Amino acid sequence: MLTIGFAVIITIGALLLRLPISTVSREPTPWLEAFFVSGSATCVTGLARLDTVNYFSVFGRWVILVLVQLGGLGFMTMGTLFAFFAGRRLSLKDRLVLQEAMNQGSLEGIVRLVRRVLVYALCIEAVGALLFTFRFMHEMHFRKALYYGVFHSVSFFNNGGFDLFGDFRSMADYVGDPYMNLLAIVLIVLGGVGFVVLSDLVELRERRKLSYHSKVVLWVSAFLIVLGTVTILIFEYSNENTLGPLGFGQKLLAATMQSVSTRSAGVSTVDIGSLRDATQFAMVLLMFVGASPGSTGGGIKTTAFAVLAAAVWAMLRGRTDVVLLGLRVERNKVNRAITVTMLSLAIVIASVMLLSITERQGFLLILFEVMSAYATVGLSAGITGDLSTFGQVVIIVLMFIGRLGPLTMTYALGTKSGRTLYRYAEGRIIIG
Amino acid sequence: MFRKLYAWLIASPPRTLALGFAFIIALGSFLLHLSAASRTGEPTRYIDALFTATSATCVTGLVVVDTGEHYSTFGQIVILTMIQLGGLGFMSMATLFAFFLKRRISLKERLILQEALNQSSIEGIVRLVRRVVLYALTIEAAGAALLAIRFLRDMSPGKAIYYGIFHSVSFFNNAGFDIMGGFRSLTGYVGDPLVNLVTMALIVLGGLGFVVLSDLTDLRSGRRLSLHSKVVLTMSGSLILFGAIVIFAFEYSNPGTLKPLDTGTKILSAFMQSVSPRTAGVNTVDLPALRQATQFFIVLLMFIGASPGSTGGGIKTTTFAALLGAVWAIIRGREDVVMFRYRLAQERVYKALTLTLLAVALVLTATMILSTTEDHYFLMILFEVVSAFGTVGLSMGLTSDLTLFGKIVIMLMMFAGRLGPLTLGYALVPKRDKVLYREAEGKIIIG
Repeated sequence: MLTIGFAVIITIGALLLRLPISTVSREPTPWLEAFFVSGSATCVTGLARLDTVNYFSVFGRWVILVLVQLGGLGFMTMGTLFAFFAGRRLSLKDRLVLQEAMNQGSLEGIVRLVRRVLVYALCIEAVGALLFTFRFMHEMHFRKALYYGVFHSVSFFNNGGFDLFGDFRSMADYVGDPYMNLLAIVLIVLGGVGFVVLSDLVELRERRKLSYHSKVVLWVSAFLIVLGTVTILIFEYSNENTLGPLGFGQKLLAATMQSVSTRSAGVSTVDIGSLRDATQFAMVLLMFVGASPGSTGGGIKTTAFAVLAAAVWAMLRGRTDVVLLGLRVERNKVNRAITVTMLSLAIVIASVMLLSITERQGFLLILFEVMSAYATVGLSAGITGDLSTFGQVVIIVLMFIGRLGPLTMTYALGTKSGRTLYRYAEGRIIIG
Repeated sequence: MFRKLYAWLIASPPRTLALGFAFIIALGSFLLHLSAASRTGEPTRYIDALFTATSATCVTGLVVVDTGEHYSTFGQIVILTMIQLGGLGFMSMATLFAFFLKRRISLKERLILQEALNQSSIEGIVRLVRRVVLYALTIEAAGAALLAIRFLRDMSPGKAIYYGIFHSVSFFNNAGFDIMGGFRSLTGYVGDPLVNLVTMALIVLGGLGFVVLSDLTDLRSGRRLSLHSKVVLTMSGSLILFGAIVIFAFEYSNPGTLKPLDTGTKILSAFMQSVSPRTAGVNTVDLPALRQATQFFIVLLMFIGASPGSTGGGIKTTTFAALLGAVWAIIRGREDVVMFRYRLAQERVYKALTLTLLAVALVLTATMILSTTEDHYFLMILFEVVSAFGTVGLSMGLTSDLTLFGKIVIMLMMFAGRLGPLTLGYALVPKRDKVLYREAEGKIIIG
């Protein structure tokens, strides 16, 4: 159902973007290009072959913005619903726990939940838009500033990564602007932690306690942001084309911005193509991990990453149980995390191999692009515009799979407990 | 005296193994550093001698100087001895680890194992080592004879026999050293069926591991294959076939590699290039000329590598099989990972997962470090790092250009790649019954 919904939105979006009134030049966009933009917007990726501000008219840009909003919020709502209500075999106990957690049950609960997600998202976006507008008023007249504020606030909160600055520069002009950067970072992070965590944080004052899920998400997100910042700062410190010319404060700001944006917003303040190989590769890894479940971002998700790390740690310490922040993670969940990660890896690797045949580009550039599409990030080291027809199709498909894959996989992958009445005898093989 | 040694060995086998390897490498590097070891009579730079010694003992095959042109016959024999010691030593130790030195081996397990190998405790170990050496030498002798017959056509009998022995030992131990000269590996024999088939047979036999070899030999006496052997054989077979098909498809129209060859030769060299990354390191086509997609695919093959208890490296076919099995089980909604109608203990699946993730982390870190120090493009560095970690020895040419720091990193990767998986596999056993409490279960959302 979710898949069909997304497909329908993308198709309608492509139809609208194809209309002559969507472009500045009033000429119709080719089908494939329209589909690419529509797919990129609905899957809140942000990979763009056409310059959003110079190619599309105001109407076209509104279409893109609506697609981003629908894609982002729709996914956030559905992701949260899946996690809480549509679990395959929800036991009475689970249901009670969840109802307690969310203060609601069944149908009216769903309606209330959706309403709550919308209220949260719109509130944050409105505040973001307002603050952006203040800043933009320095440079442009009020109406344009308001429009720019709304567009970027919505795009960033939904981890869309579309921008109106033109020439594929993203936020490069604002590299040293603390206000703009911090605002963008806050919007991206809020969009990326997921609704469950947001709702937990809001209720923190009454309940005085975060749920286990929120704790894991917050710790892992913070850890990854810091780790990414430090890595980028070290690798790029002396790179003349990126952080080299900046003051230390600005270096730190730019490194943080790049680190946050990689998971999985897709805004950049430095030229991604000029980054060193090591940095680009580090970013590929950050993109793969991505945002948190039930959020607007993509990737295999912070929780899956945390569970895998915890499983390795448990094994190294010789423990049978996987323990994370003092609580045991169910074996079933560990297996799901393994599966999501392995299948994602397989998809990414297969796509990289396909594209290295069809595209005449360096390997790392292709890997970067594929990962960016799969994790719905939208950062590009510069080859999006040069993709062949086949390459475009692959990237569109990847964005779609990357958006829906991890959620659908985990939803569909439930162990049918109690179904098999027999077990096979244990066999031994040697590992390692 | 022997009992004392045995007791010390058994106290921490991985330590013993690591020390033994380090000792062989140190001794070998010293010998290679001597002026008698080089053809010109001038001593090789110590770092290069150390690199060669590490590469030989870890049966990798990455070389900074050409083995055939730089080293004298004495140097080459030193290298060959290190390969033989490294390969066979590792094979016997790994087999011992797997069968005798298990941390807490139950009486039942002991009985099963004794039955499987027909031996027990100390005399068992001696007999096992003798059997490993016997198997290896028989196969190597057969290989050497066949290769020598072929080389007779190109060179004098004495040289042909020497070449036959050197390459047979090098290939069976999955080392990938050659003395053809000019870093050419076997590119001169791309269309020769005898050389290719013998080489592939040697590599595959060396890469299956002793347990499987012994199982196969016992097959005639009416025994059934063990689960381990079935998994190893199926996995190796499918990887070789799959690899050959992919390489054939990707390179069919590449003028730098397969295009100029006729169809038979194309198929032969596709198979050769598919067998060799796991983990021998011989090549009959020019590696830098391969398409990026093929190079990346070879990186994946190198990462998986050979089978446990063999002369090859990588994370091992069984590890890969356990992971595939786990994914398949979850997709089908089953609780148990099942292979050939046997269930794998959850603990083994986690072990496989841990090993793979740590290997990935190590490879990624090394790649990132080298991409800051070496001035080469990314895929080339990744290729070299995985080749070192998997103790493969295929190279796209980076090794000879490495900076001093890069050489040290690659040496460490070879050492870690050789000893890491085995040590981890050995050390990673859950301490059962030790923990008397379990943490409460926490709920999080995945994906």
